[in-house]
Amino acid sequence: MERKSKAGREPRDLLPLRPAVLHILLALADEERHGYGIMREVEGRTGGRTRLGPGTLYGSIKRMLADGLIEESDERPDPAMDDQRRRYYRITEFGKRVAGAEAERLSGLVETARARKLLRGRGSSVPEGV
Amino acid sequence: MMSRSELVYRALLLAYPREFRRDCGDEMVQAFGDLCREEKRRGGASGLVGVWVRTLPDLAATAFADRSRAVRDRWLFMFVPLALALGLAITYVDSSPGWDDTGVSAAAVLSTSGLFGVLYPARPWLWALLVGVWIPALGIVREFNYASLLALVFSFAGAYAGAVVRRTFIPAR
Repeated sequence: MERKSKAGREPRDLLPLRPAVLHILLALADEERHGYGIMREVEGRTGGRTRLGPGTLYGSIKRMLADGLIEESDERPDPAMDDQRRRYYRITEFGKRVAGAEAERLSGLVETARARKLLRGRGSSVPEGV
Repeated sequence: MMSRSELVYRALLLAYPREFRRDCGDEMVQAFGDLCREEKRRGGASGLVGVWVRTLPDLAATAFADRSRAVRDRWLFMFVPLALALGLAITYVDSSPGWDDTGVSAAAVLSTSGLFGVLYPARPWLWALLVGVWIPALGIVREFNYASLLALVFSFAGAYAGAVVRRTFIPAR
């Protein structure tokens, strides 16, 4: 498995990720998508709370390509239904490791918040409605 | 055929640096057009207005950030030859036959690398090397003078001190 980026960087070197970058990695984790597909996936997954504008999306994509987190895909998931000019992106092995490392980092923060009774939910002693 | 919104959005992309437009411009217009069509289908004219209300601040913020980055890179390209020239000039004076004031040379290396550290604090090691490497290089090649490596200590100290001063007293915009 590809443990480091081509530039020899470890996943932790890129942490913490900007929220837009993590959203894009999550959107590409299960399938290849084009830019507009990423925008729709993020909006749908977050219930409309996060909407990536084209500037944020493509600025992030450009840097993520340079960092080796994602790559362009030559495959067309459904060529008959799609515009040939669209570029599709897929997550790299390094990108998966970076997303995993960021998720673990965030999970640690959530656990701390829960332990300090700042978070309501599973494992918390703070009653609902407080 | 492009809608009016897409034409306006394409024109607004001039706010981004040329390289960014070349790499991403067509895709951004395409994604924006898709977004407009989808929102118009869902919410009519108000849906389209909503797209613009969300897109304009995004465009302004990201274009400003990309322009700032491009300006920073341009400064870097200007400073590298300047630091190199000043480093070589200090070395030239320091190696002149009549020159024996090592203290002045050390002060020149320290202050010059410090100045570049202040001007561009992201890469202090680069300024330290560009300014300070030539005195020891010449000293070792010509006279096996390994003590001249001390110049690198001054250049690194100056560059990193400059970077610290910049970050402490002039916050990043």
